[in-house]
Amino acid sequence: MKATTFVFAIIGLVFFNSCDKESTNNNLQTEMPVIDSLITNSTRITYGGDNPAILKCFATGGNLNYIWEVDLGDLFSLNNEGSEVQFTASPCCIGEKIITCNVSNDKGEVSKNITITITQ
Amino acid sequence: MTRILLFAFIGLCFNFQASAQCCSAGNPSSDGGALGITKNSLTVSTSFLHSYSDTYFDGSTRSDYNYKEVQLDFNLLSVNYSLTDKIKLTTELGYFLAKKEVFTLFNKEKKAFGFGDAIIGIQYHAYSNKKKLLNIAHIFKLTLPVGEFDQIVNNIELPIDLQPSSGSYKFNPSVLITKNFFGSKYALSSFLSAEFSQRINTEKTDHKYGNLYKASFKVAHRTNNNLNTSISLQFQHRKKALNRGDIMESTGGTSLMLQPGISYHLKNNYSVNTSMGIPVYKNVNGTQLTNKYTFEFGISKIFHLKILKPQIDPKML
Repeated sequence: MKATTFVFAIIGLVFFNSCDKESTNNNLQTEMPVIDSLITNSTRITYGGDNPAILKCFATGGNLNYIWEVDLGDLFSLNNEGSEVQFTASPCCIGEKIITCNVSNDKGEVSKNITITITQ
Repeated sequence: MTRILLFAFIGLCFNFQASAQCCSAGNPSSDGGALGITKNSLTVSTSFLHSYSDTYFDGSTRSDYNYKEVQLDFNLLSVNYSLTDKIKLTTELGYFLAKKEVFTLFNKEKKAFGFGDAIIGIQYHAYSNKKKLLNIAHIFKLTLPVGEFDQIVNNIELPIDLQPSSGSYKFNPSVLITKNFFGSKYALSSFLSAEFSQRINTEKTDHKYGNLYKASFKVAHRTNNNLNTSISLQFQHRKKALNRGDIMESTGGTSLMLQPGISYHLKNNYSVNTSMGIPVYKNVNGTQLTNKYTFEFGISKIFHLKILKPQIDPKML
């Protein structure tokens, strides 16, 4: 009897859990993401950490995931969703750096670049 | 005699030449050179490297500039097999336990971990003079960027110098020269090597690490039957890197490191070794973060494999 109760309890948990997931997914209305704009407060910064460039990626599409890329230099996420970052660099990275904001959801992925120049 | 030779050379294993020069990535380079291993022997080794860098240099002088500190905890697994008395096959696999950058100015940090590069190589014992106890071996290694090169942390894809893998194939020819003396407890060795990296040319990255040239000179002393002490001087010169076709002026440079070490031979062909690396001279291009110290610990075991002979005499068939 105990074993039967246990088995039903497990099945119940799995069943209710999957119902929950489905309803969550149904409630999410996502569309192909669109980056409206990628902006920065400064396209030219000196190396070091004193004056970082702040970058913001404005996008729509629902349930968005933000990934930022730069080959050299240091990006840090400034908010939980990752749509805002700061960028600094050490002397190694003097020159133009292309920063990419990738935005994705279950419908697809888009990206946009911005160039920041690191000066001495 | 074989045991003494074996023991004298075992201390030559696992010398990392770690540096924290800007924009280098992947496994810290190791020499991996050891002679005196007999045919059909298998050496399995693991070594741990800790490296810390917090000092900026401007040319050869210390700079007041402060941006970040770098800490490295790295593990290397190495398996070497002596195919013949002259030819040894070598393999290495690196794993970063932590590759951490701390930005003191704005109190943030970035951390990567995971598999670095795999290395395959061949060592040829080219010259052996038993009267002069002089040995020369050529080593050719190929670095395969098998580890992660697109690691993402907190919505940010890490820059190439922080990724666990170098993302680049590298060719690494080197020469190991060893000299022993009859009736002496001292042994000398020298290791000369170069590292040439393939240009990384992907949709996202266009980068080429500067070529690396190294030379080390080591004096080892057989302190007792089990203990070997050594001191080595390691010279390293790296050329400037290229990014998107442009020379990166603040990359590459020259350094000299002093590395005292000990190795201890245990029972059952086990041996342990440890060493500390202290930079004594640095001259970098532009302004760069430089290494403060390295610490290394390793353990290895040699297996003498037996060749299985047929149990049945073919003549009987």
